Amino acid sequence: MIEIYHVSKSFQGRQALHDVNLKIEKGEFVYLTGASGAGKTTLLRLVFRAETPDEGHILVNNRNLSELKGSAVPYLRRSIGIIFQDFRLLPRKTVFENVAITLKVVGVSEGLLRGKVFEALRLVGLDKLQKALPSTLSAGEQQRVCLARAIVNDPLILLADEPTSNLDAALSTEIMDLLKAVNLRGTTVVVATHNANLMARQNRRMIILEHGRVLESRAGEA
Amino acid sequence: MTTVRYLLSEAVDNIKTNRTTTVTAVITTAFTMLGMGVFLLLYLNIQGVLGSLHEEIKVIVYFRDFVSPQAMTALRMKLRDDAAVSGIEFVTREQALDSFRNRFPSEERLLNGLGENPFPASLVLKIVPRFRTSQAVADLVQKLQALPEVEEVLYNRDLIENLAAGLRYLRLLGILVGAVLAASMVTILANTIRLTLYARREDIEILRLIGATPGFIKTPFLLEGAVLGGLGAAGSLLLLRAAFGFAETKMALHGSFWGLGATLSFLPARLMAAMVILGVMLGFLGSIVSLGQLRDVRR
Repeated sequence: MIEIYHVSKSFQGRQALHDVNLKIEKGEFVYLTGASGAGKTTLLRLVFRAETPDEGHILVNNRNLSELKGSAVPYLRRSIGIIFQDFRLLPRKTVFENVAITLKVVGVSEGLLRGKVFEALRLVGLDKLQKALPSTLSAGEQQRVCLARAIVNDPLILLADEPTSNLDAALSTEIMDLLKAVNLRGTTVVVATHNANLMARQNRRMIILEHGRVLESRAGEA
Repeated sequence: MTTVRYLLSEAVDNIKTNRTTTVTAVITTAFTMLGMGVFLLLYLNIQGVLGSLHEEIKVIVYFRDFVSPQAMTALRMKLRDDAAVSGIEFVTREQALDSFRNRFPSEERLLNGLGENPFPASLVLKIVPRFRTSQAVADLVQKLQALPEVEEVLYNRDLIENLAAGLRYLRLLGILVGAVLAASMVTILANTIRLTLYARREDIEILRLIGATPGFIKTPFLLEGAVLGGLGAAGSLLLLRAAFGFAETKMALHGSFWGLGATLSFLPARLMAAMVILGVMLGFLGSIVSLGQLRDVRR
């Protein structure tokens, strides 16, 4: 599903990634871990083409991102759900509208849109808070809205960048359980995190980055 | 349909969100377009006045003394078929004399001294509007002067040339003023949209990341610019109408304008519609200018 070949990336002379090689299969649940500045976020940003590599190339669902035209990037992103550490919700939109925007971008009809948004909100347990504004929600609830927005379009891949860093242990477990549920539906899930406890509780494949290099790729059992 | 409704609601949302900026932009735009409107109104009314002066353009053809009435009639018939001539008035020698006596009664003794009627018969030609240019009238005069029956041809050359030059300069000035004001309006609206874009930069980034196309992201801002431009133009028309009404009543400008006989009139409906459309288009252009400078939307 995601293939990374000899990818290097630097920002203003600072090497963020160095000769990274990785392969993530369809339906996998993978942790991407390492200290702050190890290159986790950069790697995720390369996968959804927010950045382009200086060297090497990346295949997502057999499409070479280096050969992807700028006009095709939105269509690539529609097949990828993204969860951000800082939620990135639209502050003036309700919970429903924040989730629905993913489908409006694609041009889904009003009837289908309502059903899918409601289903996604029910999955994350927010179907009762459809009309609430993000500012009235707790951090955990905001992250669940972000998750609902990322999965409402049934993406092939779900990328989560430090999805639990702003949450306490109980809420973190809740979010991780939701990510597992999404993975069980067949979505490839990549979670960038440095939360060792979280990873220890779930025995999944772990890719460890250090100073922009893949230090270790450890297979999980689940 | 969902997308169209969403894009429209986003445009309205943008306008509501930045209410102060929007109101300021509409007012500024209205006053800018008011400048255009005032100029257009003046141009149309001055053109009307000059148009009425055009009616004064006449060519007088004086017959030689020996020309028979039959020959005069033949020339009248011939000129009636001329494309440049819209009307002919025949003035006999007697009518010319009477006219002189009526206009200059104190000069009666001059005529008594001459003994016989010194005035020639003449034809007064009215000219078809499209032939009221100095060149067309000069061509007609030259043609008439070559005729054996004709003693002399007179026409108000200066009036024709001054009118043509006046209208030309007025039109040129109008284009210059219009261009400057249009550029100002585009700049004002571009800056307004730029403020909206700045206020919504986070939203734009989110839309990009969830796979929105540049068209989807840009459309609400383009619509916002168009709506602001249209509202500004409509506002300018209201201001212009109010100012026109005030001028009509308070300055007692009813009826003739500077004694030149033309009636003052407001902009016709098609011109008002054109001004609103122009406002919409300039607003749209202002948005394009702002969006063109925004890297985030294009990526």
